Amino acid sequence: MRDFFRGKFFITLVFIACFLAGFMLNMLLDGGVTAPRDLIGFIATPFASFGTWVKNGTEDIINTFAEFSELQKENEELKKQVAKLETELADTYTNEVEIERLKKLVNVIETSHDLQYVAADIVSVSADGFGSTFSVNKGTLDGIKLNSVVVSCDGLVGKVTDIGFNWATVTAITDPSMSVGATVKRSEATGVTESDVSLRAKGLLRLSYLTADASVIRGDIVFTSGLGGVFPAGILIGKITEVESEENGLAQNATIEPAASLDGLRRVYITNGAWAGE
Amino acid sequence: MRKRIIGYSLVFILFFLIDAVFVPLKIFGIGPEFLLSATVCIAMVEKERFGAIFGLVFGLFLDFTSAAVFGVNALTFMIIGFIIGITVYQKIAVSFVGAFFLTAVSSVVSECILAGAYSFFTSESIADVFLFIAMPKILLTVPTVIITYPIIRFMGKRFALHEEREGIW
Repeated sequence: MRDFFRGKFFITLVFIACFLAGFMLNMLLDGGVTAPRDLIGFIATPFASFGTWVKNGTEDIINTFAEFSELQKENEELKKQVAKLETELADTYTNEVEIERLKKLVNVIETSHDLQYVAADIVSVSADGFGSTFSVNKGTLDGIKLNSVVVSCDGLVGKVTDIGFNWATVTAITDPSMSVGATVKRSEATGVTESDVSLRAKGLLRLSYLTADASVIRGDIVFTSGLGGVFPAGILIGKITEVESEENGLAQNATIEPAASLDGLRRVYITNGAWAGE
Repeated sequence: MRKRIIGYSLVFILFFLIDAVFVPLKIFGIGPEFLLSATVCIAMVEKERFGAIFGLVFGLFLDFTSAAVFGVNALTFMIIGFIIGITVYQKIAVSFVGAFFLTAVSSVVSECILAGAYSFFTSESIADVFLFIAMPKILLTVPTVIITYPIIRFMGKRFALHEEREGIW
């Protein structure tokens, strides 16, 4: 046994263990992507992309058979809705022209984020509970940068926190390390969305730093405020489900149900460049 | 030897995809870790060299998809693979019960260490971390032996038989 612990294999293992420990220490102190992570990501992403393709294809086939009759009914309903919407579209166009004319009159300056979005498929998800992250099949080659904003069709998803050539890691807004400047649309009350382990497990967020007199009620819609310089203003975050005052009565907290759920999410849209703030 | 490496690499790809892409079952957003039980089973069947090397590789790929610090799974899996490889050889028989027991012990020990470290670095309540992270992970990971052990045991036997016939081993 003593010879075994003096053997080449054991010494190599000790060397690797020391290397990994030093590597982790470096990550904890400096953060960011390092060469080994980039290399693993470069190798793993094509496998994960293939797995995702198989998974999505299988789900689509099953869903097609399972929902065929429902789809037929839905198709009929949608045809009726299209006919109705076409008539409403003509009215909307007239209204838009009127709004543009009024805007010019009052000299309204609209904020424009001037960002373009790149569509990316989710290839792997973190299911270890230490955070809400996932990887996508687009990276620096597609113009994505660190801190690029990630949205889905439903609303804000998160931001890019690690990136390689053909992959990027997205940290969702439900991750305990994330905070987003937020504003309540109805009352314009501002706060910061946060999360912790128990909220993340339920897929919820907390809207903190609301003043005691801020008007916030259940059902209010919350958008990004643009404060903090990472997320542009006006992206939908979610809906308030609960409001409670702090024990000292100086502030309020609200619980938000995010508009974009990570469950079943397949595709996200990532800005090709970090937003530099307005 | 080459066949073993290719065979276990294919097993690794399968379980990596299950862990990172398919995620068959989730509790509080946490899925089972097939790669941990696969490491335990490979270490039992193939002893410490394969256990440590495959543990390291499995852990590195799991680190890529994990939200934890990169390298933590690699280090944990490598140590687990190595220790099980040398203890099973002398103390525990290669069996389903043994694999189940060792996966449970490995899962509990590694999750407790990770949860403690996470709670320390993030100032999250230790009770919440155990309740919402460690417990679901252990409960989901341990039963994965039902799938990983028969596959790896079967492969190990086939490789041993093949090498015996060829006179390689």
